[in-house]
Amino acid sequence: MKRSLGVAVATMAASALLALTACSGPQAANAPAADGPYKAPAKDITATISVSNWGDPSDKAVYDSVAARFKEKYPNVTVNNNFTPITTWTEYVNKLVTQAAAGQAPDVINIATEGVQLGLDNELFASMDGFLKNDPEAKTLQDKIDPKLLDGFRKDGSTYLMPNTFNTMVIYYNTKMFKEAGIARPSDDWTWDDFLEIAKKLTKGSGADKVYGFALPYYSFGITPWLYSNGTSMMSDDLKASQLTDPKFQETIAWVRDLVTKHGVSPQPKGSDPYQLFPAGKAAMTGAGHFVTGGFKKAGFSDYDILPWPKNSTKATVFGAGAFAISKTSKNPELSWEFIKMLTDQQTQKKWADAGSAVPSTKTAASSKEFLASPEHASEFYNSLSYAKPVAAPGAYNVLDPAFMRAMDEIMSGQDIAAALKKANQDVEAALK
Amino acid sequence: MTTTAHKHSSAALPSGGAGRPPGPGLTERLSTVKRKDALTGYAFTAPTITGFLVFVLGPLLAAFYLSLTKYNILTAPRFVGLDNYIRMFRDERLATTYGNTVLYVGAAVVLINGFALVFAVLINQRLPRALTYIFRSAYFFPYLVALVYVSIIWQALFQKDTGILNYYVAGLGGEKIDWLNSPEFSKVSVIIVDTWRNVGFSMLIFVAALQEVPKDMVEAARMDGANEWQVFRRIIIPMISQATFFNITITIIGAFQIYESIIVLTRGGPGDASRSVVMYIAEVAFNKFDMGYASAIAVTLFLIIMLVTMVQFRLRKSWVNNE
Repeated sequence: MKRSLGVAVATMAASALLALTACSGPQAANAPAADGPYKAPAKDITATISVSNWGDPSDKAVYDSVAARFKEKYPNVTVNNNFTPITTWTEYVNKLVTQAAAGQAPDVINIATEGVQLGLDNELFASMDGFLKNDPEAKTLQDKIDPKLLDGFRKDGSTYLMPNTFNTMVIYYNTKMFKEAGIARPSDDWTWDDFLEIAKKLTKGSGADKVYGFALPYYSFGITPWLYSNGTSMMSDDLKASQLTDPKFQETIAWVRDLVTKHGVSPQPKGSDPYQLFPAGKAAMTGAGHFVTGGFKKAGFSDYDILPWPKNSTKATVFGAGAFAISKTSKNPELSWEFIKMLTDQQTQKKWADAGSAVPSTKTAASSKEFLASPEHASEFYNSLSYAKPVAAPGAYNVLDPAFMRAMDEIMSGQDIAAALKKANQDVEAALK
Repeated sequence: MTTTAHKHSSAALPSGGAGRPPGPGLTERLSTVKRKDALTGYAFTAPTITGFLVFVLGPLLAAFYLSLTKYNILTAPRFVGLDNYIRMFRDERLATTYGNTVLYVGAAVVLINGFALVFAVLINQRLPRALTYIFRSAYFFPYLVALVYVSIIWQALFQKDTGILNYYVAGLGGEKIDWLNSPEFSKVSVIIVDTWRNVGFSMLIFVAALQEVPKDMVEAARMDGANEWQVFRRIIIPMISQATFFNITITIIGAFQIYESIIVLTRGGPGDASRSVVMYIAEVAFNKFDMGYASAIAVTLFLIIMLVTMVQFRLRKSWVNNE
C-alpha cells in the first residue's frame, strides 16, 4: 500500500538524514566584491550554477530564454534550472530551509515576499551590497524599479534580493454580467457597502443555474486586502507581534464570513476554485492578482475588467513581490549575480509582462503596449502598487499561514470567531518567540 | 502465506522425519549442505535486509534518539530527556488528531473490508470472463490513480454550494450539507474517499482467496442440504480467514497512517476536525521545524501500530483457519 510507506516513516527518515547532514550546514560564501571595482567573471569560465524556481508553466519559457541568453555570454557555464510547481509558500520555504540545512542550497534562489523574512532569519541569502555599489550595470537596473519593491528586500540597510515581478490583489468583474444587470463600473473609490450591494444584485438563480456575486479568494494573500482596507493586519508593522485577536481584525473576518453565511453572495469557499467559477460565469466578481490573466486567456475568457479593492476605512490592498537572491552557500556568487542581472533586466522584464503571471517590477515594462492591451484598465495593475502594502510575512510565516487558514475554516463552519482566532494567535505567538 | 512458509520449512529440513535418528556421517554432510543453503539464503535476502537497516531500522533508531532532543534542523540537537513525551499529555491538538485517527481506523476496517468482501463475492459469481475482468479493474482502478488528480472530482462532488451531491440533496428537499467544512461531515467525506480508494486492493485479496476455496467442499455441503447462507457462513468464511486476517492487518496499519485522502479533501479542517495524527506529525516537523517533538509523536504512533499488530497476531489463533 502506498500510504503504508507513509509520512511517519518519511518523517523519521528525513529527520535522521538531516541529523547526519546538519553539521555540514551553511558555510560562509566567498565574500562578494565588497570594495574596489567589480569585474564580471571571465567569458571562458567553466562552472555550474543551480537555480531554484517557482511559478506557473508559462514562467518556464521566460527562464529558458534567459538561460539560453546566458549560455551565449558564458558558453562553458551550465545552468541547472530546478523548477518547483508550488502549492503554498510555506512548502516552498520549508523545502529551501531543508536544502540549506543539508548543504544543498541552490546558487540562485527565486522567492517571494512571503518567504523573504524566513530566508533572512535563516541566513539563506548573501548580501548584494558589494555588487550594487560597484557594478555600474546595477544602477540602471535599480533605478527602474519602484523603491517600494526594493524596500521589502532590505535588512539592516543591506539589500539581499532583486525583484523581478509582483502581484497586487484587485477586484476582477465580469463586464458582460455587469452590463446585463445594468450596473455601471463603480468609481475607483468604492466602498465595502457599494461592493456588497452590487454583489447582492448579481447573485441570482438556484440549483445548477445559480450565479454568485463574488467568488471569495480563500487563502491568506487573498483575504489580506480586506484586512488592509479596514486598517488592520495579521502582524504589527515591525512584524514582531501577532494581531489576530485585534477587534478590528475580528470585525473584518466577520465581514468576510458574512459574505458566505449571511448574505450568501459567495459560495462556501472550501472545495471551490474562484478562478474557475469566475471565467465560467458562475461568479460575477472575484479577487485576484495579475497571475490569473494567463489562465483566463488560455480559456478564451476576455469579458472582464479590473477595479481597485473596495475600501472600508482605508484604500489599500496587498502586494507580494518575486525576487532573486544569491545563496549564502553559493560557490559562484559573481556568476549568480550575472545571471540575476539577466533575469531582471529590461529584455526579460518584457518577457515577464508577456507571460501574464505577474506584473513586471519596472514601470517601463508595465507600461508597454502589450501589457496594457487587456483588460481595459490594465494600468491599475501597476498603479495599485502606490497604495498597496506588502503582505505581512514574519519569519514565522510558515506557522502563521496554516494557523490563520485553520481558524478561517473553523469560522466558515460556523464556529466562534474570537475563539478560533485566539487559538491561532497562541500558535503564532509561540512561533514568534 | 502460511502454506508457502510451511513448504519452505519442510524443504529446508529434509531430516525432520520424527523417530528416525540420522546416521553419524549423514548429519555432517547435511550440515555442510545446510550451511551452503543458508549462505545462499542470506545472499538472497541481503538486499532486503540492507534496505531494512538503512531505510527502516536506522531512521527508527534516529527518531528514538531525536525524540529525546530539541532539534530545529538548523542547529544541532539538544538533549532534553523525556520533555517531548511529557509535553504530549498537555497537547490538545494531539488528542484530537489521535481521536480522529482511531475513528478512521475503525471505519477503514469495517467499511473497506466489508465492501471488499461483498464486491469479491459478487465478482466471484459465474460471470462471463470479460465481465469479471471489467468489474475487477473498475473496483481496483481508484487504487492506481494518483489521489491528487481524483481530488478535483471529489471536491466537485462534495462542494457545499456548487457541488453535485448537494445538488441532489437540495433537489430532494434536504438541507445542504457542508461535506468539506463541517466538523462532522468532513470526517465522513474523508472516510468515503478513503474507502473508495482502498476497497479495490482488499477486494483483490478476497477474490484470490475465494478462488482457492475447494469446489468439491462447497458441492458436498450443498448436497447435504446446506443453503447459500450456510455455505457462505460455514465454509467460505472459514476458508478465506487468512485473507481476512491479512486484509484487516493491512487496513489497520494503513488507516493509522492516513494522510493523502485528508490533504486533498479538507486539509485537516475545519480546525483539526478531520486532521489525522500523521498530518499533525508532518506539520510539527516541517512547518514548525520541531523535529524532536515530531519524532516523539512518531514514536508513539509506531508503538501503537506495533502493539495493535501484535495483539492481532495473538488473537489470530482463535479465528484464523490454518489449513
